[in-house]
Amino acid sequence: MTQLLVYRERLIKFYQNHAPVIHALLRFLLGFVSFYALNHIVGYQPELNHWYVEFLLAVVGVILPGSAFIFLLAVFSVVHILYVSSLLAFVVGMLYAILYCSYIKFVPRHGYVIVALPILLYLHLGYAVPICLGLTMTPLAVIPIACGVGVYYLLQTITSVVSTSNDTSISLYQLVLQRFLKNEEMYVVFFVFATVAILVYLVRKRESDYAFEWSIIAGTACSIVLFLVANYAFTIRIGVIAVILGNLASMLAVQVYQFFRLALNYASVENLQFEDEEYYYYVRAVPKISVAEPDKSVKKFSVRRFAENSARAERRKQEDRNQEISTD
Amino acid sequence: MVNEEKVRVMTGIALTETKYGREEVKEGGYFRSDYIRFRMTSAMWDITVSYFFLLLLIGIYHADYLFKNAASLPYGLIGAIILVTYILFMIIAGMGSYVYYAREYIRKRRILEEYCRQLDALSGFYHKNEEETGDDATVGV
Repeated sequence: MTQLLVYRERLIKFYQNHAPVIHALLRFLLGFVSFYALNHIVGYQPELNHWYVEFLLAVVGVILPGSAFIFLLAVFSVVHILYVSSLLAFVVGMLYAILYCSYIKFVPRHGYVIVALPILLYLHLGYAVPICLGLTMTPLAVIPIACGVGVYYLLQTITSVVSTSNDTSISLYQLVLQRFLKNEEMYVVFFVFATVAILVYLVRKRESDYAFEWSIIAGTACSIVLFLVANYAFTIRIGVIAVILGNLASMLAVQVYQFFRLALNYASVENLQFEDEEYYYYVRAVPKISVAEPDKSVKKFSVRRFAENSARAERRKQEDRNQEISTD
Repeated sequence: MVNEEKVRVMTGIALTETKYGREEVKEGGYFRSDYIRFRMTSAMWDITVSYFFLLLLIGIYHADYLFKNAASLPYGLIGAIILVTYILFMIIAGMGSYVYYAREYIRKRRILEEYCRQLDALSGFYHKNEEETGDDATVGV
């Protein structure tokens, strides 16, 4: 455990020393993965559905601020849908505008969650999102979860309807909306994610040892159980193995994230009581773990050099003694 | 010689300006009523635009029915429903934005107060320097 903490300190120091480069690299990777996922979800425009377009747009995404990058992703998806139906593209654009004006404008940080969810759901890593949100946010996190899940299933519905229908008129829009509103899988995923986020929040708020770690485990278990129950109870197709493996991988990823975010030493908990003019306080203080990286100083001993140095020192001593004798 | 304490204060000011300079420091200086009124107006305008877009989408969805029965539609009833739901939206948006921006104002005010405390501390260093050197044109640490 101490060795893990030393590696953690080293990684943090490495990140602090090279922060601008690491930020740029991470933003590039996130951008590339985002455009790659969008190309695979709604990749209708043949000119945009190439790896070099994803690469170029990811490079552009490094320079743009976060909100502009989200706008670029939205425009990218609308341009893809424009290739199959201009009316659908208009509708999707209007829905993005409604989402922005009524919600994202007031809480811009939630926009990142709304954008991340469809991409992570496509990559089968969406199970990590409600656990992360439960660890870091309040139960209001169900709102961006609902919006993100809605956006993902809207794009999925468009893909499935367009692949089975050649219509481009209003009836295509009506069909998409009807299938979207009747999509059982979307409601199941939203319900499970919302439940997991609230459960993780409730468990991590408890004043017990390892509350964060237990909340991650509880959230993962709840997610697996609810998805398996839903798979049995409703007419949806969710791969059982994919759900279990995806949840376990997400749990591991979130545990690593939590380890780097907050490492607490529960062995040195202090319980304090004090009062001021207004209140009497019961305080539980859990110290954060901070491990100093051991300073290594390596002294190399070479047997030959050691012998030469010793012989030289001996010879000098002998010369000094001879000089003393001769002066006497 | 470099005054370490002064450098600490200046670094704190620079960090505050970098992190909070765009919004919090600028907007924390408004009066509470002005800030909340301005933000509520902006929020209600955004909700109005969203409501209009939503009506447009609903209108497109029912376009076939609307065009076929354009002559016999109960426009009064439709207008009343639109108006009542709009007023309900506005009431909810108004109440929600009032609560949200009242809390935001307190948060921004606290950041501005901390920023002003740091500026006062820095100003103290300059006054002290003036008293010691008798020169108010000295620039430096």
